[in-house]
Amino acid sequence: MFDQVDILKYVQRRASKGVAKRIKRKASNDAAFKADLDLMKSIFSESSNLKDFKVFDLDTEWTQFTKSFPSVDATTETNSEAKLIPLNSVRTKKRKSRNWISALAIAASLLLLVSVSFFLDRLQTNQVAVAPLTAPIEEPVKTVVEDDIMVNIAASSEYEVVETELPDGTLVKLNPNAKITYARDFETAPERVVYLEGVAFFDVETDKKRKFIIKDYASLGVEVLGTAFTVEVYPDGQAEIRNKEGRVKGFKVDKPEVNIILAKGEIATYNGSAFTKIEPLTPEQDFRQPIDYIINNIVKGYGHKVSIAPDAIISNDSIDYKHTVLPLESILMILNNKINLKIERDGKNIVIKNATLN
Amino acid sequence: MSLLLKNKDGYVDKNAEFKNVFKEYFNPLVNFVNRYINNWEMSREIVQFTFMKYWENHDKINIKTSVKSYLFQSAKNNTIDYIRKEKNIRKLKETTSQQLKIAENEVDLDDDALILRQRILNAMKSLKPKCEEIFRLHKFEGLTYQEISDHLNISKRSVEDNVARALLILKDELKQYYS
Repeated sequence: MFDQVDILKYVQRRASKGVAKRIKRKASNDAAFKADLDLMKSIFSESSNLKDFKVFDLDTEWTQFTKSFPSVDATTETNSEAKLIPLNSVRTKKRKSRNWISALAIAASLLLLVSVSFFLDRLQTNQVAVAPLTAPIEEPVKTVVEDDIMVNIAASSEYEVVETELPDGTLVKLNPNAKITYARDFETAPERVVYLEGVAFFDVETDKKRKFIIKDYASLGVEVLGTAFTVEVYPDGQAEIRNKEGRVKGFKVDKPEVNIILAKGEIATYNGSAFTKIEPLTPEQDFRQPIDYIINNIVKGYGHKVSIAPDAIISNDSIDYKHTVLPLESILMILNNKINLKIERDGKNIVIKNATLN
Repeated sequence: MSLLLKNKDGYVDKNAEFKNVFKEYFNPLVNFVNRYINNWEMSREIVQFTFMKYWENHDKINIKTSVKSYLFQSAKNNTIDYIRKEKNIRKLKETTSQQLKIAENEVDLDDDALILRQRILNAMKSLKPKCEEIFRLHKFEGLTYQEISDHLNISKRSVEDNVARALLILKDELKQYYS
């Protein structure tokens, strides 16, 4: 009755009056025909908008989805009849949900350490076997959902130092038990914000247009104005910032007017509410650290509880160290070898005893 | 429309059915979300997250309207949450406030049109290559029949025939969704 070009012309509103009249008459008497016409009009109209319709590869997206949800079978074929499962038998993955914004207000046991100093020279001179500085892990960066926001997380295990690179090229070495969290659009966001738990070394890629900011989950923020600096945040919320190059700004996250800018070589401490500049260590001081400082700050900073037996005498001696990041196991090994103390470890508990009496 | 199809034994192929829903709505949802935030990568993240929440909760969700309505509303809510949180995190006052205003107030972006676009793309796989190319040049690139005729060195009438044929085939392919 109508050829396909007649229909096309009608849809395009350029059919002759006669053809248009006949098509309309048929449509008024034939609901199915009218439905076809309406559908073709919609198709013709919407297909003009397809040039702006972004298409992601659905197989790729499905694969990514199934990786996030192991309970979904990635191999399932559409319309497959092979996999029948009882209703309510699919166990959904429990996800850790944490408000990573409000978590800023939660005091946490953190130790943030950038370019921290330890005993490398000592290790080398005494030929102590230590764990490798960096241990490869299969997928250092994972995507998870935290309080409804998808974020990337890089984390190290209890015994490994993990090296990873942020999307902007910034190098991060994560000490054991450390974790960084950053938004998925880190690369394009106006500011580069990284939340840190534990100990990490940052070699920040310069980007004058986008600030690089490290935050803990308590109150401290550190804005990188240069590229090389040291920050130590202790479990009690106190911190120390050591600037080696360029400029670094420490600030209170909820009160940015409380801040301090450090020039090259300057050091500041942070007590949870205010910053105080202190005298820089001499190179010689910077190369040695008191044993009690190592035990009380560094070892505890790994999230362990340290108990010192009454008979154990911690000397005021200092031992050599060098800026690097070491696994806790290696630090304990050094302490065991260099001081007359016996160090016992049971999970997260470390007990220091007098070696001569045990 | 129900996501879960229960057979007479009370069993259902959840994975297969879910995959169908995922493939049907993923791209329309991404395009829907992107209208609010103009960030394709984040849009696809939000949609992935929307499906994650749906998969996690689909046993508990009481869908009163349709899966489509649920997914688009959920994606929109997730987008609003995202904009709010971005605003809090980054203090992007101007842009995100505007986005938020749009997202909260603009109720009906045409989700049906977005779904139709995905279905058209799928159905175009049924077209013969030359027919598909001509339809694409005409509708996607906006070329006139004469321009296509010159470009492909075929008659203008042949171009028109191919566009008409494509339209009929697409209609037949999509009829199942709209009858």
